[in-house]
Amino acid sequence: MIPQIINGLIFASILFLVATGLTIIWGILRVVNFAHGSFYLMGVFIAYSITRFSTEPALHLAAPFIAGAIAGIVGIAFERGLLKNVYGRGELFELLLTYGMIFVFMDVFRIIWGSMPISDPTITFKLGIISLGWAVVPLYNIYLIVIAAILAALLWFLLIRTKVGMIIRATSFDPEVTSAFGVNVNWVYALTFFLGCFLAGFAGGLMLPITGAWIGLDVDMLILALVVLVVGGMGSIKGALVASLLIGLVRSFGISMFPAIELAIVYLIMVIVLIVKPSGLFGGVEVEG
Amino acid sequence: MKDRKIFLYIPLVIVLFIIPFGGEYVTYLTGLALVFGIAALSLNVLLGYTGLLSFGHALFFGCGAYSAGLLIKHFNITSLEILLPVSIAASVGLAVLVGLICVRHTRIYFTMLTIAISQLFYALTHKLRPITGGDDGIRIYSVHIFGHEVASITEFYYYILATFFVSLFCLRIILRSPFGLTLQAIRDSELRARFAGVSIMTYRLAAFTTSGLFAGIAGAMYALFLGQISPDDVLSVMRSGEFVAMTLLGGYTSFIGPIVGSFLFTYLKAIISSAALYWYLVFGILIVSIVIFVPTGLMGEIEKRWRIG
Repeated sequence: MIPQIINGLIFASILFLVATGLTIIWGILRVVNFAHGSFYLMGVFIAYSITRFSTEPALHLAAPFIAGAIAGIVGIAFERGLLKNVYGRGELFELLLTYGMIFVFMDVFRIIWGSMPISDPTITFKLGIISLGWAVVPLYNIYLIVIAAILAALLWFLLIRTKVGMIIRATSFDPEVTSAFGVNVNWVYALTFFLGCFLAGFAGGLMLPITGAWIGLDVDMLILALVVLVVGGMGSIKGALVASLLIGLVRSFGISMFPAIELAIVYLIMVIVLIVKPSGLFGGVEVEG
Repeated sequence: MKDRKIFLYIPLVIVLFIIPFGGEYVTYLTGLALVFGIAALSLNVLLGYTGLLSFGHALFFGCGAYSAGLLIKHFNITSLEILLPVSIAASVGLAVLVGLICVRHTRIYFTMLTIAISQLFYALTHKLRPITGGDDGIRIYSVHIFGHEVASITEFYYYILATFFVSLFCLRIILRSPFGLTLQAIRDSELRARFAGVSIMTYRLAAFTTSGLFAGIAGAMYALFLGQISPDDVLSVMRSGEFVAMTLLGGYTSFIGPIVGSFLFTYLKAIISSAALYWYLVFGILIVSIVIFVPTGLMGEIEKRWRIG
């Protein structure tokens, strides 16, 4: 049981970080960022390049943060340089633009990091293992879950308890009125994209020792993050948390109990939720028809 | 004006007929482009005419392909005159079921739902190895038509060409009919259409089913033409995305836009991949540029400039 729970929680933590980024960007910009999986993959690759320098554990633990920051900056460049050109033309074009970026990133990654899968479990060995009652698990796995939880708490604090968070929430509620109050909405959009892409890149960096990366992981991660997004309710961070835990644990137990169809179960949950409650578990009333 | 436009297409039709003289590879590519053209046209029934973006259209393409593939694999039926109608029936059935769930939603929610449901079937096809062959897919060794074995890629190319023209003709009539016009009215203003007494859901479901039907035809012809199908090839979200990209490339505001897009896509991909260049990079930049600079696509732009729409 314990290994499944730990694996499920790892998976849930990563999904939560990626899907929260996706849901924040949707909440503020009304864009479903199809390139979000690419920012995750970018995070793994950048962390890999950073950890080439030395086997020092501190560097390996810092790598996800640096990877997240770089992914966030690329995110800002993407939003300011490309995405802002299609604002106001409808969500179709915003969606298709981010869809096109998946392919651009895919080949850019291939050019920089090659086509072979990469991985670096050094830090897992350095940190050793820890005994949890009946089971022995790598300490790094526990660290991953804890750091994701801390980040989730920080995010909540940023959005609910700080002035910046208030401005972000106000922009999500009504960009025009917020702008009338003297807030530079463009700045909020850029910040949101940084935050969302940072979370994806950071999650990617965290997974370097566990799964590593390969070309194609971007689309796999995107699809799972989309599942979390719609199951939890688009724009709801609370929903992302609940849905990540649900999907993470279902997938982890599914792999050990129904190894053949675990992914199908995940999609089935999504379809059922969407039929029963079209706006997702914690979604608003944004569904027409 | 209208009559002159038809003459513009005659040289193109003649070129399509003499394509096999260009060699097997050109025939193969053009056959693919025609099949994808049918699929992209069917997608555009939803995107261009109904205003709904399906990102899971490979589900119906794959349904057509797998209906044909499974009949051949398990029942050893290789006659095109049986395979095609069964594929159509299966795709229509699936489209009605999936449509009942999807058409209650619009915009991004519709898109998400199409992704979810297509992924569900993709995962099932992947995992139900005893039935579907899993990720190895299904091989198709021979196809018959009225007892006669299809001997060459060239011969099958002409069946595809015939299917293409029939599909094109039917879709043209459907979309020009009061039904097609009603769809466009709903797309432009759902509220106004509702006030005019139109049952929105019924029309959307009918559009969804029509779309699924032609995607199924395309899928079945694709499977038989290629002789090899796998879930990653015919059911994946990447394939769905390609149909969207073709439609966008050619122009979703134009009736023949998706066909222009499918030809552009297929030939560009073949040329760039064979030159060992980075196809995905070119493809991605192409989509991004189209979205930013020519959102109505190639044909949309041409029709706007030349006023031949």
